[in-house]
Amino acid sequence: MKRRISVGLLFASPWLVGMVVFRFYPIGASIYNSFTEFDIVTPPFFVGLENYASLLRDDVFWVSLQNTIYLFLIGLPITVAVALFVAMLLNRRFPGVRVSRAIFYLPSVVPIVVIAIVWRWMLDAEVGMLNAILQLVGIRGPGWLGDPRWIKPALIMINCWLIGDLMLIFLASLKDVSPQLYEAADLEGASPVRKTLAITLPMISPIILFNVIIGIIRTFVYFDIPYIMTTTAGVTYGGPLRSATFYSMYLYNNAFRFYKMGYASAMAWILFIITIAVTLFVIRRSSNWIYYEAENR
Amino acid sequence: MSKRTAFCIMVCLLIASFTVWAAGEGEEAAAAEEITLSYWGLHGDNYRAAVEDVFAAYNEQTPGVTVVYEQIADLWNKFITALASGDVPDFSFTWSQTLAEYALRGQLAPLDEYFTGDVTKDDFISTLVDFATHGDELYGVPIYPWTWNLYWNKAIFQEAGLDPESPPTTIEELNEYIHQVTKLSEDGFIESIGMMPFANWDVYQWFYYFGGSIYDEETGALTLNHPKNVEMLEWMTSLVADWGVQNVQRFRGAQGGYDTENYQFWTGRLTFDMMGLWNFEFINRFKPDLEWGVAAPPLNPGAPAGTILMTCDYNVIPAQSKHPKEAGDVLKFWYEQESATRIAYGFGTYTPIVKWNRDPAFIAEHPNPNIKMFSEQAAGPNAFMSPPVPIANFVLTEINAAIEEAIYQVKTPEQALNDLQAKAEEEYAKFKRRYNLE
Repeated sequence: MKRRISVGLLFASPWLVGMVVFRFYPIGASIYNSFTEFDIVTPPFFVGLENYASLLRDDVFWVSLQNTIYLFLIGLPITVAVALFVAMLLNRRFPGVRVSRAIFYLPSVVPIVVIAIVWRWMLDAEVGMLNAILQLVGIRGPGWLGDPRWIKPALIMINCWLIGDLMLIFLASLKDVSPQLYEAADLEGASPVRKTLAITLPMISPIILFNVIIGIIRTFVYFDIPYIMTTTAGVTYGGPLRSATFYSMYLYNNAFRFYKMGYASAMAWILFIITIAVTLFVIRRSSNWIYYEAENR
Repeated sequence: MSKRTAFCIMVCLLIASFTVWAAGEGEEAAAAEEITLSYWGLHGDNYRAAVEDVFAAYNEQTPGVTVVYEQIADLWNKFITALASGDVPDFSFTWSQTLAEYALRGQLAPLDEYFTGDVTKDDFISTLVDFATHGDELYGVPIYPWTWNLYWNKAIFQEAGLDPESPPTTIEELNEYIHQVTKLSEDGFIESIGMMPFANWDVYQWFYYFGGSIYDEETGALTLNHPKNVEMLEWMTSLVADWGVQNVQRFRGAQGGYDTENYQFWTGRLTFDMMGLWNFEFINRFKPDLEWGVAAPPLNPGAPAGTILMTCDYNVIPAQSKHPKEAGDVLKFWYEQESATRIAYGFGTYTPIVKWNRDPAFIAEHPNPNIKMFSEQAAGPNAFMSPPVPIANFVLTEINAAIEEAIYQVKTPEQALNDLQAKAEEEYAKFKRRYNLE
């Protein structure tokens, strides 16, 4: 038996070693580093809780957290709602539905750098497509990327354009809703809105929860699009008045621009705790609105 | 399999292993005579071609040594990772903002010993050498120096009734011209603007043009809330207040990058631009028919004559380089007249060596007609660079933030700079404490 275990461990060892060296060790090291001053090139210097205390006094830390929470409270519900709405539309039968599904999914396979640069142009206050459209109806559009009040809504708009994967998951779950339920509702004379509220949403509620949790995780590590869009010439890095400096961007700055790896590690652990806490809160509260069909059989 | 057969197989394997090992040793011995030096660079195509030409010339004249140029896409992060692991290139490009940080942490080798022959430290533009000198030792040699100047659109000058050949020489004149050429639409929106100095790269240069500074070379202290800096920020704040904060934010939201056709200086929506000398290349690329002029930055009466910003990145040898002497020898070759000139032409700038820049042939053959003026500005006593402090990245990021806080009226200019000074001082004190630099 012992020999079988040894052989088993031997065969599993590449994965086990990889897991320990590339996962557990970095996680453990980052906990330790968060209590040190660490500049990457010289050995970490233990400072106790100083990094955590400094973070509480750091105004940029709070600004970046506020920006991220804005995206979570306002951006995430909008993005999930748009993805669900589009999925419901594309779940209907109409000519060209397959092409439409492909069109809505297409942005999700475009590289992020391309998306950021293309949107940078579309949001240009003078020659951008968005303001040109607004101009047609007599509205002088704002400076989306130059105005601290508009840059976050602009980023939420981009996120709504990137709903391909959320939409696909919703679409699959909508296909799974039993047609008999709709037939029964039709016999009772239920309106489309009533059918959506009473059948569709409860039946796909576990998938909504799944997409919300995925969205929470993505929101708290939101980095690439605002980073690329605000590092191109002409835009203030992190947005005007730091209005697009999100938590992960500030963490990145500390780690790789200022070489304050200990400080960045402390930020990473705070982010981890916040993400876990928010996710657990949402899961716990979900029992009020989620419906698991299997549990009710 | 009998024991005897197994024994024979083992002996054969052993002999084969020894043969392979011995062959490897032989190859290593041969390789010991041949040295390959790796250089990490991050240059665009034209620039890279110039560096590779110099390496090719060096390889040709130096038997036994081959210098290889390696283009490293994410050099910023890879270089520090290499320093941490000890697996470093023999020599490398590095950004000026990180030079002091690496040098003070003991990550770079001093270069003084390589510059005692035809080209000495004294031959370099002094501002560039001073920037890279810490504790009397030189830790980096400049690659491509740029000076920053005021570019203006002559056609807009003419349209506004200004003399297109007379750019502003003082801040007062600049302010006057900016207001004269700025056009607002009937409903008050900005159509074209004289200048947005607050949107400049390296915006801290304006402190110096007002007679201020951000670093005291004598004491080594940060001087971010210098009274002249406050005066400068009050000027920027007044410009934004004149046009309206939201109006300016909207205009900034339309500012395409200088490396695009849509850049407002090319499209005539910006009359003045404070830019490095690479602007010549970009004007030719994006707007060759632009009628433009270039002149030294306008100065406040308090600023010393010839005050001008220089920016430059550096060549360094990591302290853990396996071939520091050989890398130093390549650097010596890099700054000889022929190679330095090739690099300067490739990068569209002047060389970091004053005497090569004074060669009439260098000036005559240079594609940039203003190169003589630029190189003389650089050699002047009041050319300055970003502060040679180890937290330069932090300081420069926070300066931009403080300027925005003032111009967008979140804080008064004085309050914004006082807060900036306090924040930067705290960070600098931490660094000095950590590395025992007090």
